[in-house]
Amino acid sequence: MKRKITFRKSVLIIFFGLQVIGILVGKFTDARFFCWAPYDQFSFYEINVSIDGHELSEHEIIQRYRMGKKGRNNRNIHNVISKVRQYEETYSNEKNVIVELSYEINGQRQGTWIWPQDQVISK
Amino acid sequence: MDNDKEPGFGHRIRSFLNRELPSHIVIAHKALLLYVLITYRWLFLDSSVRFPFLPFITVFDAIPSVVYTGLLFILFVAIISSFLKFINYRISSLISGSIILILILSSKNLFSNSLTFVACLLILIGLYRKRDHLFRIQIALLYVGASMNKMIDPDWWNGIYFDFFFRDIFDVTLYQSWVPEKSLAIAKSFGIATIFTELSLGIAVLIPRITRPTIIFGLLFHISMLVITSGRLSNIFFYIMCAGFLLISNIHIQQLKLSYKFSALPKLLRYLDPSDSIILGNQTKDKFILQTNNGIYYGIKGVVRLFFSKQVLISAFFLLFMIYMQKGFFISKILHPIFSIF
Repeated sequence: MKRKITFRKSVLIIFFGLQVIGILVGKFTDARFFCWAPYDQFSFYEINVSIDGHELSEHEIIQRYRMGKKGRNNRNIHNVISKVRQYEETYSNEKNVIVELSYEINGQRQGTWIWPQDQVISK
Repeated sequence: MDNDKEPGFGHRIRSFLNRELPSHIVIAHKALLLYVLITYRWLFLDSSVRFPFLPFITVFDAIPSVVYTGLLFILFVAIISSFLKFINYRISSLISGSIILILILSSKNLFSNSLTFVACLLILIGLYRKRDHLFRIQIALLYVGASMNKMIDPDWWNGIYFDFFFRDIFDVTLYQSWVPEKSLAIAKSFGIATIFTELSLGIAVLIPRITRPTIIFGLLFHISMLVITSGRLSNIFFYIMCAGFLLISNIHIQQLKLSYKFSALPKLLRYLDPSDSIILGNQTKDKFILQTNNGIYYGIKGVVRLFFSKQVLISAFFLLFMIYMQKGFFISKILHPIFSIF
């Protein structure tokens, strides 16, 4: 007997297929969003931003990225970096923006991500 | 020869609009919506929340903010309509799950594994027909994905993650006082145990024969995390997983027929029943009567039987656990205003 692929079945195949792809892709990317990775690492971070030499206050950083200047992240630190990078690439229209995002992963590894170089410097 | 007629479009639409879902799925559906409504209430209440913001897919940036406001409004209406029983639960689930997923895709800041998982479960409730394998696959993907992510991180194998977790993040005094610093053996065993527990749960959930032990094992796993961290980690996930496990539980909730001299009381109980499994009997002259498949219970026995029925106990669990998780909100916004009247 021939089995018909209905619209519902196609939706389900795509729905689960995308999740499998997400899990597999997550193995090769720094940021881990749609790969079911809850609480896979703890990191403390601090963001410092200066625009034309003016250092942004805590409030200005919250306004800019909608997240605190300092905080704890329960997922991969690259998720935080990904947000700041995306903001600077797409929304930011200022020149001479310098961002330093320092972090410590699981109390062991320290690093700093810097913009506009978009580089991670491990300590 | 197969004589079954191919169902027509009208039939398919009618079957799609069919409101009837098994009672345990109705409870899970409402528990998930309650989670969205209470935990993410700021989405509906805070006017400063704006979408899109740092979307996963750049095209979402081109969609005007008013569209997202409209989606939030539809989400709110779908949730409330479900609680008030105005809407087909499948449609409400599909709408709610899809809107939550769109909102997540339009804002990286909104992303969380819990909310994404809830959106997926809601969409699957919308696509549910008769078999629960959809939910099994979803739960399996979650656990296998979580396990695989831990597998590739050396901190989970060498004990660094759990040592930091116990000492600095959750301040677990038992660990701090019993395990000497720089000794990672215990932390290492916790890391490895978590990886294999999640992997085995991901596989076991796909085997319907062992559903009950899998659910017990899964609940114990989440409860142990709650106990170790004194209720600070994973209480949201425990709540969501309870709804997830309920979806695959095949628990049989039988209909309860209520009769009383004042018909308003059974009507009210039926309206408040989140499982849609209470039906009205004939008006009686005197005592409260509860009729189940197993027998008829009169008066106080009927009331006790009602309160200890599966539908009431399961629904009460979700409601009370939500109140526990959001106690600050319930005390300041609901209890305090009520008591301040007196």
